[in-house]
Amino acid sequence: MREFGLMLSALPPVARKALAGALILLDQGARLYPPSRGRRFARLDDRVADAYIRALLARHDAAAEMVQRLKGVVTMCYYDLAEVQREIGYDPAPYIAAVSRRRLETYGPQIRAGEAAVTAGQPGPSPGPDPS
Amino acid sequence: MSVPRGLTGQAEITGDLNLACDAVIVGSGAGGATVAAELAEAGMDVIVLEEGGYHPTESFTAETGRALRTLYRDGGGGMAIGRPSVLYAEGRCVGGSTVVNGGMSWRTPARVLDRWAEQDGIKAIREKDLDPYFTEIESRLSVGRQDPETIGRDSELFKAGADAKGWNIVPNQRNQLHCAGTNSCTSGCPTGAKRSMLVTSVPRALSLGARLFADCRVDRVTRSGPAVTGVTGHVARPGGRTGPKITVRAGTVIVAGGAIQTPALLLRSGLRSVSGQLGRNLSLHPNAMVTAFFDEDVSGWHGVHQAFQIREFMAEGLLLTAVNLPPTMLAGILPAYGRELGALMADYNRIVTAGPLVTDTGTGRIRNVPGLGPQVFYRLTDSDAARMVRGVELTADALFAAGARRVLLPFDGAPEIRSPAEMRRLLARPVPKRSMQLYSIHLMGTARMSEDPRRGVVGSFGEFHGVSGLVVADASLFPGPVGMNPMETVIALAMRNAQRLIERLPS
Repeated sequence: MREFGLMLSALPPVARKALAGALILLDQGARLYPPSRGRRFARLDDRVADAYIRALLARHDAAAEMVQRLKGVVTMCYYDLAEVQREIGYDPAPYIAAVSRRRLETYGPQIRAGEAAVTAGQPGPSPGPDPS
Repeated sequence: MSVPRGLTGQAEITGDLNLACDAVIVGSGAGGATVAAELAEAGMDVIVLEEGGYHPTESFTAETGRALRTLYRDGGGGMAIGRPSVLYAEGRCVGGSTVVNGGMSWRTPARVLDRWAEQDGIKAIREKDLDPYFTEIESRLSVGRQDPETIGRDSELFKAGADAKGWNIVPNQRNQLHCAGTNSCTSGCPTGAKRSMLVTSVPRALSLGARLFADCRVDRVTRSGPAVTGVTGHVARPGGRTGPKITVRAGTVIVAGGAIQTPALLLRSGLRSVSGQLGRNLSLHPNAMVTAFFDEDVSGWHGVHQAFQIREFMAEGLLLTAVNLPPTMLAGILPAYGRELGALMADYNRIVTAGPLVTDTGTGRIRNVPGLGPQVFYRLTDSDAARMVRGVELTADALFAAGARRVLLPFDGAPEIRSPAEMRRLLARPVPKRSMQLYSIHLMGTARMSEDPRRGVVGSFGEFHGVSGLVVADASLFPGPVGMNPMETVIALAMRNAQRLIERLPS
């Protein structure tokens, strides 16, 4: 939920409201889906919830787009959790530290020279005679 | 966090700002930062206003969520409305999209430049005219091939697939100073090896005396009669709150906010183009992602973001690339939900993601919608949709040739594919456009150049037709799509437009 809150805070106010509205619509809209027997999305078992989502997606309309957008945000937040990433074998920090070290050990002098050159640039080329 | 001299963030601005300078530049990305450095070098008093924040290299990590929240506009979740809609991302930070792009650095193809010269009468735009700029850019940004130890297994497999098919595949040219291969391009390079504007033209401009105000949003370009007088805006406080007002008086205004924000700013400033093209003519190189599963451990995040491009189908307007995506991004685009998505993601380290980039023939437009701000509308043409399907098929072919066991296509409802023959059977039926999951990071063309004011918005050097002192310097300038990564084209045009401005200065 913390990740979700942080992501919401990055959105403009209109998008934030739209996303919140979409979540409510998705949740309460499930009551109109016959197999849900009047239950909201949060109360559905996995099988019915999955069928509900598939039914919405099959419409290829605004509702389907809304589901896709919501899924994008929710899964993004979920897979941003370090423990979830470790579960699927993604742990980039030690890797980044190791290859960053290797880079400096292998190319240190060239890197320092390249970085120093940044503020020593020459003026750019001329586009040629002024056509006007 | 140390802040470079000349750079001011929102926290240091406590009251309204009233400033004056020779040239004010809106945006600090590929176009804006380049122009800033050139003009400052020529001795002009330059102010850069950047809507995003200042995030130095040492603040970058592989945390995608952090990057999306701090380095991208709207958390990276822009959407061009259409059937299908196209998700797009824009950088919003000091350095602009160069901080979060893949760092591909390619010259504009000569055939594209020739077309621009011939169709729109654009001056000094042919290959021979731009070559000196490209040479200079490639030197300044350390453009070159990757060191071999940084090529990841996903890229090797992609190349193996192309080689097995006998296709032309080339190593990427990237703006990198011995890239470590951290695969963090889209989250900000944690080593500074990617030579984004954040670590090149921005510090260069500051060292030459330019002033940069981060977290400052420009609301309007101001005018007096047919000449610009500067810009007005406000400080953007955290949480979207509006801070003090900013007024900058300048005889030259350079707009470089990218192909969405630039026309949006000009339109809300009351500017119109005789051609009616301001905000129109949007190209976005739609692309889609094929997800392939291999038996072996690929760990695509061990290596550079993108190492090769398949050029075999360029004549058809198709460029194929393999791009590793962090789980945070991949999960959002996989065409699966719930447990099914969880099962796919459990195989994350066996996945290679690749896809086509289509040189689009359709166009979109930008509109300022009251209460919503700039909105993007885009129509994928039937021919572009057909090429997208072909590009997806070719990409999947290469991945199967490399040994993929199963492949997911970026079409809603498409079943998992286990062989090229199975794919052919599936794709023999029409693929509905609305089922396509499309993305874009290349937005171009909404203030197009043309010497003819009835065709374009700006002239050959970015000067807005009919308004004195107003210059555009970003991908909005492109008369059409370039068919490959546009950053080097943007920088070359920005450098060229800046040099033209300098030559016209009173001596």
